[in-house]
Order: sequence, then structure tokens, then C-alpha cells
Amino acid sequence: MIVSKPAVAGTLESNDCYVTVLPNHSSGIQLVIRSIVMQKYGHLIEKTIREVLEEYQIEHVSLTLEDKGALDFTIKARVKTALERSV
Amino acid sequence: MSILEARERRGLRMKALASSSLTWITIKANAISSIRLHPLMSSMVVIAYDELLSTIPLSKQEATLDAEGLVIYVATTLSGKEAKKRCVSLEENHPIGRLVDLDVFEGGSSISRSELGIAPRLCFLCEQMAAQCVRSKTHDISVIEAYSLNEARDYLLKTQGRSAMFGMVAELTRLRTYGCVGVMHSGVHVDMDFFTYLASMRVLWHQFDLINHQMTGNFTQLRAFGQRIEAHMFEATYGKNTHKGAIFLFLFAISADMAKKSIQKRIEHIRWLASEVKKDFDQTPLTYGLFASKSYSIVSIRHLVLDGLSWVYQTLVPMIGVSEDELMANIISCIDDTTTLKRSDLATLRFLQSWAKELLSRREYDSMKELDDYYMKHRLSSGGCADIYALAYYIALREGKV
Repeated sequence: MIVSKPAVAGTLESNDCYVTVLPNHSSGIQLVIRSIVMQKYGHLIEKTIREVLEEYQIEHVSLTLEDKGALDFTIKARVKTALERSV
Repeated sequence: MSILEARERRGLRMKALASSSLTWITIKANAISSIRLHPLMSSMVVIAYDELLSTIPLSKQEATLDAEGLVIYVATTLSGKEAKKRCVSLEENHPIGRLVDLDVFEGGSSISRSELGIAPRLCFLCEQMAAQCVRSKTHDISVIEAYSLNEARDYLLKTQGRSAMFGMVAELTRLRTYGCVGVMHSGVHVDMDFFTYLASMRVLWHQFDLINHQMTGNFTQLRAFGQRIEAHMFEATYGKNTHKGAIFLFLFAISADMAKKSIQKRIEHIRWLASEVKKDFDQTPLTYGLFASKSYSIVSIRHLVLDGLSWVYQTLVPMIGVSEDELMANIISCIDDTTTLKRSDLATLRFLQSWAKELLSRREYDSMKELDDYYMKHRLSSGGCADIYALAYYIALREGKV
């Protein structure tokens, strides 16, 4: 799948996250993660995002995720929705 | 609609709202999704709203009811940071502060605790940082669920006014309203909405707390007090009748609650108190409810009270917790609702009742949606049934059945 336009999903409410994706033509995957539990769980959030990107076979994207304490399944759903909206 | 969709839709709405120069606060239950729609949790939202209004100047308000439960939005002219400070103070200091989530938005983005140098929220079970407990799933869902419900229940049981408020909230946050005012629409009523009811409830619940033992044994005093509450209600709603029927019912039930311990004794107490109501049937001029009972030989709410509300205590209350639809089907089929009658005729009332009875016998509660639609389409309202519904929830809470 190719990210061809900017898209967003999610909210900034507690237990949710806000995902922004932008096309990143042939520049690979760029991730920016901000989280209230960054220190402890930042790496797990990144792992979850990368799993979705792999599932969608995305090689080039600039993705920002602002986490307000979302669980993995919420993060997955929000990333997927943002990607599906970016086609 | 899923919880994520509901949240996103609300987020978009917030963005639109935030384009104004106002600061917006969202009030919702801080609870796991399985109990967000529970009336105990909706009551917590209403209590936080009531508290918040006493500390912030209000400019606008909205409300939604969906997978996320009841959410009230309040706009204020306060700066985002000032509003957040007051919200955090409520979250930290109010007895039920931990059960609600107050998010503050200014210019489209939310204001975090860290921006104000305030520590993040702690988990109510182990005092660790809440977000970390959520993430690591430290606690069993059933334990979190039970904690929230117990705390809410304990708080509401502390006074009769709070318990009555719970009953009214349960009624107001029904997903189907059969023509009555609800959260998402005003039913068939054009002159009032959810916030008219909230305004009325805020007055009522504090007034119900003033009922004392002397009144509970004296119908004349109780009636005088009821009339005073009614006057307060009309003042709060700018002359709209939101809870007149409910006040009448709650006065009896609260009195019985205060005076007697067993259900049977309460029923007898209400019968004894209500014997005075009989005189109403001979008085002129008649209210519509009285007129209807006299002219059509129907079983109105007054008759229920004359019988000590035994049907509510013995039949309805044990049903609570089964399903909202089943409870409403029972109420609609058994009560001759004079509010419905006022907007139609006896044939229509009987038609609606036999429809509800049929759905009950076939256990087709999903079809209650069609009955609900019928009320809306034909501009009918079921205000009398709604009052009984609220009362049943009040009694159920007091009896430990919620």
C-alpha cells in the first residue's frame, strides 16, 4: 500500500491516541511518538505501529502518534484507520 | 457505532467547537467501556457537572450518549489553564472525582496535567500512575468494574436525594425514550431538552434531601413540601413541567423509605399516607390526570399510589438489571399513562399497551424500537411511564438491586 495523501485518525482524549500520516516518497519510514508513558512503553508502542505498517506493506511514510494512554488494540485501530484514509 | 468511532466523531465536534474563543470541558465517566452506559456511571457525570457549574462560569453546553456513555460538554469563558486547574481539583478532591474524566480543550488541543506541572492521575486500585496500569493491564477487568460501581453506589446511597437523582438519571439516559426527552433528542417536546431536565434535577435532588421524619408521617406537611419543590422546579425550568409526576411519586417512596424498614411495611405506610389522596378525586377543578381517571376508568399513577406502589416494589424492581426494553414493555403495557392520553385518545393508549404486551409475550424486545418510533411519529409521549421507570430505579438502588 502507498500512502498518497495526508490523513488523521483518533482523538486526544484520555486512553486514546491521535495519528497523523503523511506521504514520505522513497524516504522510508519516519516515526514520531509522543506518549505519557513514553519511558516505560515507548518501545512497545513503536513495535505495534511497525507491525501494522508491515501488515499493510508500507515502506514509505511519515507517521506521528500522540498517545494519551491508549491500549495496543486502540493504537492498532487508529493507525489502520489513518492509513486507510491516506490512500 | 463503536467506541472509537464515537470518540472520533466527538473529537471532530470538539474541533469545530474549539474554533470559537471558548474553552470546552468534556465530562465523562472514568470507567472501563463495559460499564460506561450504566446509570450509576451516568449519575457520576451528572454529579461532576453539578459541581463544575458551581465553580465555573458557563456559556454553552451540549451532551451525547453513545458507546462512550453519557458525555456532557461545557463551554466557559475561563482560560484553558484556569479551567483545567479547577477540573483537576474536582478530580482530586471530590469524593467521586476519581470516577470522572474531565478533559479541557482550548483552540482545538487538549490541556494536559503536565502543562500545569500537576502529577498524572493515579490508579484507583494501587496508586501507581493510572496510564501505566491501563497499559500493563495490571488489574483484572472485573475488579476495576466492581470498584467503580461500588464507589458510585456508595456515594449515591448516602442521601435520599442522591438516590432519587440516580433514578431520574437512569430514566433520562435511556436509549429509547418513547416520545420523552432524552440525551440525544427532545422526543416530541419542543419546549424543553436534556438540559431543562438537568436543571430541574439539580434542584430536586437537593430538595429531596430536606425531607425530614416529621413530614414522612404527615400527608398535609408532605404535600406542602411537594408544592414547594414544584415551585422550585418551575423556577429552574422557566415554567416547564419536567418532573411534577416524579415529585409526587418520590415523596411517597422517600417517606416510606425513611419511616419503615421492610418492603411490606413501606407499602402499608404509603397506603396509609395516600388515603388522603382519595379526596383529590372529588376536588374541582381537576388536573388532567384526575380528569382522565374519572372519565375513562383507567389505572393512573394515583391509583398505584393508593395501592402503596406495591406493583413497583414487588413486580418492577425485581426486573431491574434484566433489560431496559423489557422493563419499559412492562410499564407501558400495565400503566394507563395520562400523558399519552392527553396527546391522543383511549383507543390509542389501549393499542400501545396491547402492542407492548404482545412484544412481552413473544419476548421480542428488539421490536421495542418500532414502538419507540411509533411514539415519535405520532407525537405521543410516555411521561407517566418514565416517572415510574425512574422510581423503580430509585427503589432498586435503595434495595441493593443495582
